[in-house]
Amino acid sequence: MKSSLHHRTSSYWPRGGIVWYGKLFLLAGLILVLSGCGGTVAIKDYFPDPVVAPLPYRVGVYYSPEFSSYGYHSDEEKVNFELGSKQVRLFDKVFNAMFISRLAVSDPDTSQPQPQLDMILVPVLDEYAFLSPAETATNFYTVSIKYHIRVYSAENQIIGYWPFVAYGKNRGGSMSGLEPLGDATVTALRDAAAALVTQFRRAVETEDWRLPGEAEQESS
Amino acid sequence: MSGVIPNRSIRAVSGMLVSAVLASACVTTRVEQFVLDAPLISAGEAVVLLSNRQDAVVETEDSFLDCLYGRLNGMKGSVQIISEDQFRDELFPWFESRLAPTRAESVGILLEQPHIKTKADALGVRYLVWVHGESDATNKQGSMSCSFSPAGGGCFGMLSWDNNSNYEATIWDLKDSKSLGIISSQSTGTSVMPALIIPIPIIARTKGASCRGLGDQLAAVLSGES
Repeated sequence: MKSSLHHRTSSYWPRGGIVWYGKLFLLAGLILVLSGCGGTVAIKDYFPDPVVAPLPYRVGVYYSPEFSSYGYHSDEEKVNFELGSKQVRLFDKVFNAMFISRLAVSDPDTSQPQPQLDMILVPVLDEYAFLSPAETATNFYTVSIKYHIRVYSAENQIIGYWPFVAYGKNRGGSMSGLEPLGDATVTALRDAAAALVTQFRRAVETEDWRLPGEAEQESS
Repeated sequence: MSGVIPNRSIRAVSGMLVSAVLASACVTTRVEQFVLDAPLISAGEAVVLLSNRQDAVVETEDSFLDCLYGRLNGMKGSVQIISEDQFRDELFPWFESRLAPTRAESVGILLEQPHIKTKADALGVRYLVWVHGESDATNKQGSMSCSFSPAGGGCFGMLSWDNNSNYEATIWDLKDSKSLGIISSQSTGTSVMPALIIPIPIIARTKGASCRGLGDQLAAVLSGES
């Protein structure tokens, strides 16, 4: 009779009955714990072409190896991702749309002058930082990226310095891992494009940027 | 007898699981409309749904916008609904949070720029619908404890909380650069989760109710039925 009853119950419960369910709960708990353990953040690298009328300038653009291969690695936060190629892609799109011509050039600090250009732009990433929902007591990941653009004349003389900060935020879910951080980073990159096509454009038109001496004072 | 579960218990637990799937707590929804001028959509004109991302604290969930988009797409007539992602990409970066206009009158200034107007005209956009609001859970009460071991596990206790969903949709006319009005939707409900080995969530689905309320009213206004 016992074996008959056991046989009948096993048609409702998997073999091992409630013990099997206990193991399932344990596995689910482990997955929940591990999902909060960080990892590699995927950052989408699609950016649309900016809708902007081009300025009548021929610019050269130089991306340093530090800029084009920038990666964020934090053992403490257990977060790793590559940002360099994404920001190069974005800046290329923005400068392509903002100026009548864009040319990739060598480091203006060490290369020959290029008289066919009106100016040379060197974007520099000063700092990438993010806050998790736990740190801000909100539902959002927030990202800030501090940049500055170094502006050189065609004679490779630095003539200006234009700092700006881009922001992005994205709702973080308890089960969504680090995907919201990647999306917040993309939002910050898009915000950088918004700053460039409006505020930096105005600075280029009016040559309203900080002088190199002011930049040094600010950073010291 | 270890590992043998009485048939009656199995039926009870199965019944609870089925009930949990089917049951959802009661939700009350209130939809209010303050629309001065009804939109008049002509053939070939489109409506864009956008979430207001300029608020530092409140940001509409993507899932709510997707739901609203689905409901408006299913409405009668031939009104074309353009998604937020498509619109933001087509007019990049003018509707990113740093630059997005905060007043209907500002859209007219933005559209004075020929390259932006050309893009907007190509999309056929006539009306912008700004969606703002979010869902949250408050008044959490009760307790539940769970324990797990290689031999098994389970949860015991009872939790309850209030779900609130507050959203509003503001309609802008791009052609005349003016705001036509606001439709708001408020949904409230109480969720409970009793646990006897297995937690049984009985959720007040306020976000879905708000989406239905706001979506149906918005569809009625846009199609000229209200």
